[in-house]
Amino acid sequence: MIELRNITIHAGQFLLENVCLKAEANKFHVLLGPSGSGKTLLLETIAGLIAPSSGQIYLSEKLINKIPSENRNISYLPQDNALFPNKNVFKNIAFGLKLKKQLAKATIEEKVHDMASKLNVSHLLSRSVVHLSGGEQQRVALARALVLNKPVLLLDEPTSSLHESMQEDFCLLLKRLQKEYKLTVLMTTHHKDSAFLVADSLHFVDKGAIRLSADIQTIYHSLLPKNIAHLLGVSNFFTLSPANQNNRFYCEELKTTFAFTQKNIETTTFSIGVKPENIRVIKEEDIHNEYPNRFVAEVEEMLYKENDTLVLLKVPATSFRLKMQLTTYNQKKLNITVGKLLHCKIKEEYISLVH
Amino acid sequence: MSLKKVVISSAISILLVYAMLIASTFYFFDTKELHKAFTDQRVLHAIWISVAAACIATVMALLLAIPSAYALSRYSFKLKPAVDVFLELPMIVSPAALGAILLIFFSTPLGLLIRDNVLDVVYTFAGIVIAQFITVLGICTRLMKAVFDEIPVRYENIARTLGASPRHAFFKISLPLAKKGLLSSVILTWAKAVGEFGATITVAGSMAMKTETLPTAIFMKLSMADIKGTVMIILILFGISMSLLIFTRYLLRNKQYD
Repeated sequence: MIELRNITIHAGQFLLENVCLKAEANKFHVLLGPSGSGKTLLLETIAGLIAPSSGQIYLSEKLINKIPSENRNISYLPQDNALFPNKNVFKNIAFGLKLKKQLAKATIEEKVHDMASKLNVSHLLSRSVVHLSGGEQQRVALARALVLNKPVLLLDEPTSSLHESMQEDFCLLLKRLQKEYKLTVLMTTHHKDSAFLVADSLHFVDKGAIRLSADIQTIYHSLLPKNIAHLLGVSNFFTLSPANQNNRFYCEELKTTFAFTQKNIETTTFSIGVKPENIRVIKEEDIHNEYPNRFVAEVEEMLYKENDTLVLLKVPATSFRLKMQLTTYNQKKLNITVGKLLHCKIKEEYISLVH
Repeated sequence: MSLKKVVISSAISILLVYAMLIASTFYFFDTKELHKAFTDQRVLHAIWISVAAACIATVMALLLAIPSAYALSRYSFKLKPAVDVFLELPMIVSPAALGAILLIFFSTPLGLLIRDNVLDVVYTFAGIVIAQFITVLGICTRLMKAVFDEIPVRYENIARTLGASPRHAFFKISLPLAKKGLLSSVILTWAKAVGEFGATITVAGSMAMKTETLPTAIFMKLSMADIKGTVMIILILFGISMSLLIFTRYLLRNKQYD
């Protein structure tokens, strides 16, 4: 397990203050946050490349603050891969192994070939790293980090330099390798989709602090700070206040009543957030049926993105607007057009409590 | 005239100025004189002295410049700004003044102690080496710092996470990556040492067959109004330095890795 206790890091004008983090062993942890939030600084500190001003770093319950980077048993894959440009692919992967004096040349070659084969870079071994594609460089850098068989792997924005079409494949590869080698992985990203593909747990970093840590399964059921909810793709926020009935709350923005049966609401007035894709349209033939959490809104604008349509809705007689996303297929099937009045619903399980 | 044309014309004018000056020496070119220069023991000795002293001075400068340049490039330390300023000393103080400072130093009790017990540098071969070393040390360090500055520290960092100690990271990563840049710095340092005049003549004088280097030989020939002899030595010095500079360019043709 990696544990940070009250870590404070000064880096020029930037300050990470009293950061605490517990990353369970053999799990895939993702530090999710916007650019410039301090994610890379945290990884470099764990890797031993930056010394914290105060606080303790524990690896498997052993204090490692004073242990130099080379002895930390932690592999690190930086954002730009940092492949040594004067060495070919083989020599890059073999670099760390060659530093281990007890390893025979044949053993090193065997390990390099095994890892290269696993990451599908065997055909590149004699090539210069300078002319490799972004994806190839990434796999070589990963091979170089993994071949040392260290239990912890730190990944800094590994998908940021990859084409969108390759990001998913690379994430799946990372997940497979993490399970195969039983690694404790700590990965930074600002890309929500990449995070959700691989993470067992998410740690939200913003403005130099970890704002929330949560298991991937329960993240939407956690009480989310508004900026984190936004980072997770929640872009519709409403305020609810108690209605006369039990577990019912009135939403001023949507002019409707919400029902909460599962959530334990303690405060009188509270906020909720809903992702655009979790707002559903009630079919015309069903609009007379009973649905909880339903409201009426007018289609103000529609934006098309690949297979989806983003619909901007306006609540009648108010200036409140919200976003709904559905497949373009459904948009056409439901005959949704600008100016049309829609009956919408939100399922309770898709509602996040925010603050 | 467009900006592009103005700046390109300016660059070409530099070439023309130097080419014209070099070409002017051919006005006094004489193959017999060239043959004479290459068979003259005094000239041959001056070539040997210049080359040998420059080699030793360059090696001495390298031993101090490489670690110093690395320290200046990678670390922050208390006297760093002062070191940085003093690297320019040989450039802001005239070579003759630098030579005079050396002579003054070797006239102090400490200098005399060194001359009596370690090495006498006044009017000796050692004096040429010391004069060249002091003159090139700053520029050599400056050139090498620029080379290390160009190598991103992230390569060393990643080497550390792969198990390399700071020493290993320096020798296995930084130094090999800096190889070409360092080599070009070495050659430029050597060329600067070979051409050194002011400090050399002040400290070591210009005694034929003893402390006469190519630049001091040029001065001696000129002072005797031997124009043709002067031109031949100039061309020899020019030939040696240009060959090295062209060789440097050749080495640097693929310097950028990324």
